[in-house]
Amino acid sequence: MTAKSKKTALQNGTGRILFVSAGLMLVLMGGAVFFSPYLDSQLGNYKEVLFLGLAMVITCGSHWFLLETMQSPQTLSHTERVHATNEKLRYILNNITRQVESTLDNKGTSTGVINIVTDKLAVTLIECAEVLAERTAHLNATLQTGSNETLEMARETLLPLIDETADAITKYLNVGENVDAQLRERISKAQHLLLELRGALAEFAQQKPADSSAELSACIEQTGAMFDVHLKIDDFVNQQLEVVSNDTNESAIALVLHMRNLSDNAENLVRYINAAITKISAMDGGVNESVEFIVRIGHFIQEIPAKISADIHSIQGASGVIDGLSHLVDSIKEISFQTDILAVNASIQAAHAGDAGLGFKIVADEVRKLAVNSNQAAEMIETGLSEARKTIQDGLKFKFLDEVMQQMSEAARVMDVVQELENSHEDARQYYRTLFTVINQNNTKLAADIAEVLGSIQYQDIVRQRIERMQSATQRRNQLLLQFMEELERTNGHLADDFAEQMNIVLNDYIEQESYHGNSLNSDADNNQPPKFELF
Amino acid sequence: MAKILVIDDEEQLRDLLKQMLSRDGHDVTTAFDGVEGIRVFNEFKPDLVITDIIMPNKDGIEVITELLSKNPKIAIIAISGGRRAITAEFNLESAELLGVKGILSKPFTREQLREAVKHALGL
Repeated sequence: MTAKSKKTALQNGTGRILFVSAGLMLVLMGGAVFFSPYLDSQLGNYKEVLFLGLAMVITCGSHWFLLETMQSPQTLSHTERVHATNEKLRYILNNITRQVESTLDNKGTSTGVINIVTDKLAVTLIECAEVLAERTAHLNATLQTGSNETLEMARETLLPLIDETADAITKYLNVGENVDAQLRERISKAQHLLLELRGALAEFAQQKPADSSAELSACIEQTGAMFDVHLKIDDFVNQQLEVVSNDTNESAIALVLHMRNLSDNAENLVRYINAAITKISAMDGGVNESVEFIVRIGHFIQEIPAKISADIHSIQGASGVIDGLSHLVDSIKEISFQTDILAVNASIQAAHAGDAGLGFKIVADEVRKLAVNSNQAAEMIETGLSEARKTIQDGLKFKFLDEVMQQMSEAARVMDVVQELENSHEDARQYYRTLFTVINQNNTKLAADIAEVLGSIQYQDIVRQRIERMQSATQRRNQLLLQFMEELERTNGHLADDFAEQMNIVLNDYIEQESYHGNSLNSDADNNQPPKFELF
Repeated sequence: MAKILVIDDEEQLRDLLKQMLSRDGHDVTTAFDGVEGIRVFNEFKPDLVITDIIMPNKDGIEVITELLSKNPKIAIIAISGGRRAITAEFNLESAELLGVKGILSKPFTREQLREAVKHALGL
């Protein structure tokens, strides 16, 4: 017998019982209406009791048949059994409620049957019955869609209510002294039936689902396994986030320290270079003075040959002029000599002329004297010129030597200046060598510091990639969870794929990807090695 | 106590430093210039090097650079009195920028030397 056919049979059976029960109740109600005047006159206040009793009989009979119909629970499925139990329970409760309500409705026309206490208890009983009906409806709904856990919860909330209702009935029967014995018996039966149902429910709860338990267990197991891996992924992601957080923090601190070092080093170097520039300017000033002096002496030495040549030329010129004047003196001497001879000849001729020549003789004598005087003057000029030549030559000689000596005495300092220059050169060489060494070393250090800074900055890229890997892993996980949910819904729990294994693959892939990449900055720092640069 | 290498081209100062440091219990070796200083350093493997800056053949700046490139943690004290245009201040500031642990401007007292050595050795 299939579950469907079983369900149909059960529905048919319960349907018939309910139909018969409802018919009897209608007949009873019709009879009560039709025979009311007659029964009032004959039975009086016992009329309600009679009708209530008959209603209880019909109800209890239908319950009995209903229970009979619902026998053989082993042949029904878990869900069907629970469903049947609920139906049965609801049916009983509804009947109880209805009967109690009916009793209360008829109270106005009856006297002394149900007192105030029993009224209150009846109300409580109705409330309990209503809540019970509601809970059983909830239990039904849970059976359709809920898990075992929620089913268990629903059952656990139902059981105390059944107890409460049973207690309410007990109190109702104990306190309601005027309750008809027949009614009391019927309500007691209802209570008994409730307790029986309670037992049945408890028994049902103890019974584990037989047909679908294996699949359900597998589904639960797989869900649990997936959830475990899900948590592991979360744990690993959290670990990575902590690593990222710590690394980012350390990287930021390292960055600040490096930048501070860079700033300090650069500042020191700038100050050092500025001081050096001032010092170099001072050193250059001293060297320039020495160089200017040497250049001046060099120019003097260069000019010496030209000066000598010019002086010699000047002297030669003066001597030439004097020599030229000497020739003129010779000419004057020659003219004087010729004039003297001429005067002598004139005197001789004047003597030959006698008295006529006396006057001419006087002129001749005067000319002769003039010639002698001219000769003497020429002699004197010649002597003067010689002395002048000698004086010019001597004068030029002394002037030149003085000048030379003056310049030479200044030039004698050249050796000292050259020595100073050599010292300055040596100092400058030493100075520049030191300067360049310091600048070079500091630049190397600055470059290393900048590389450290770049390393720290680049590490932020590694952090970004690590976060991207986290995102990728969680996306894959979420996608798998969605697939799982869809598959669960589609197959109604009959899962074919091993989702837990797929989830494990996601976790292992993620761990493997992390292991491929560099660890945190600490690992490099621990090894006292410069940070590794990864190119991406 | 520590092994100390003193490098200075002035013999008198060299001997004086050796005497002072030995009296404080240090094991002292000397060298007369930078070249000799590097050679002795490799053999002696001192804990501390005290070097003059201006020296023939290889000056103190070169010595400091070479030693620090071999071992950046080596303790070095630079001493200098300057010469002509190159002042002691310049030499010592240069040495400090290179990373020496201490500087002393000539002339210095025994107490100053002792303090500098103690500081350089981290005592």
